[in-house]
Amino acid sequence: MTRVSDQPAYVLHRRAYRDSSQIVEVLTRDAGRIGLIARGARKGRRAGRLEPFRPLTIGWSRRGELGTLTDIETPVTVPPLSGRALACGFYLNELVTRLVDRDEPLPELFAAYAEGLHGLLAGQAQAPLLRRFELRLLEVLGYGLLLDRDARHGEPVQAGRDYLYRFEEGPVPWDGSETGGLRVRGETLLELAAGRPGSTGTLREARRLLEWVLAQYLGPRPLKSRELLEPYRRGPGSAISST
Amino acid sequence: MSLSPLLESLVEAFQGLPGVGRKTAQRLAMHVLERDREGGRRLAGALEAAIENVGHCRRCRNLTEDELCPICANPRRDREVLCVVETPADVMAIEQAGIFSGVYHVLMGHLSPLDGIGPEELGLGLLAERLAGESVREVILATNSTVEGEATAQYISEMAGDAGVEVTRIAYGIPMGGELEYVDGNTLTHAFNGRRAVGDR
Repeated sequence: MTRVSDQPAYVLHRRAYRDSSQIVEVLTRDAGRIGLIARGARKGRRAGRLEPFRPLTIGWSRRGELGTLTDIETPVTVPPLSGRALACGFYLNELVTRLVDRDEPLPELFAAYAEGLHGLLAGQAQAPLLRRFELRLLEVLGYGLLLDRDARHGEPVQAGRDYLYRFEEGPVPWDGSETGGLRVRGETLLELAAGRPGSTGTLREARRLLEWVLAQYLGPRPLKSRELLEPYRRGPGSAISST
Repeated sequence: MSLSPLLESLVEAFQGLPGVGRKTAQRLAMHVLERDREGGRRLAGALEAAIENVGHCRRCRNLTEDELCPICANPRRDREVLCVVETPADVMAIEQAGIFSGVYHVLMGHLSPLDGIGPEELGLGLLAERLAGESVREVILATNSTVEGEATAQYISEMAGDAGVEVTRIAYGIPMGGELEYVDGNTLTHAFNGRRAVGDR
């Protein structure tokens, strides 16, 4: 039996378990993504404390696949996410739940996730924020993208040139064929590499590239949370949003 | 202790109900067989009839055995005000409070992308049709104050906005008889954000 206390964590997802309990999927700083049973979490004073997107400090004890939540503290109160930021929050949670296995300690992922949520709360531009998170997620999982060098000769990627991005290899200079990869402009790759996606209208292309790469790891089942973003894409100002 | 097969299957059936453990299930089974066989027969008949006949209201999706539920069929309800709730139990709660005279739309759930429930699975198309086809003046969003309930409310408010319908969200904050000291920070935040001028009712 292991016991852990005072561990920073975020709830990714929870589902009802028996009459008044929940099975909670949490992302912890040191233990990675784990599943915990929260007894009595659906009624009384504990209800509502396990909502996603709130920084928590938790403790648990564990003997098998699922642990038992023993403590929840809310060290700080943060305002709730709303509107498009809330839909983006679900997107982060769905990505992590779908791509990260349980019990893989990934402290860098925790940091990237916390930073992403913080940015959403602070009202940062959402599309670049999501792209940065996707890149970092791929990186911590060992699928990091080669962005600043040509995969064939190792030459620096140049703005103003077109490339064919090959899955799990990287960009190669575009030679007119569209097969075996995705066509992207050098600027898009360089901006992504610099962690500043989004200048000069490359956001749309950056999103297409990451969506394409992620789809290979996610398999045929699409990300449901993207559908929640749809009305915001169509809405006013949708021309600038490539969330 | 081993029970006879019929008794065992009755106990197991009771145990399948929410809030009923093994002990309670045994007590219920014994009660029905020892003291109230007639009541048991009525229960069996009512269960059978309800399961066979109760479906969803064609308009609001609330549970009913008729094509329209009693609320949608009632000509005295105000059709211009539409209250969106997650479950039939929510309709019951609001009806028991006796505070609302409009009509409902029962989603039978909420948006929950991580469970694979998006706008389509939730049947939001039906709500969109109602907003377009009926003369709705105001949509009151009464989904739960969970993140999923909030996401659902916001999605619907975008939809209703597109349809040119006024959208309101029920207020949340300090419960009646509640003491501030015991209210959590998030609820307090909502309560402060949703404050209003005294006398403005």
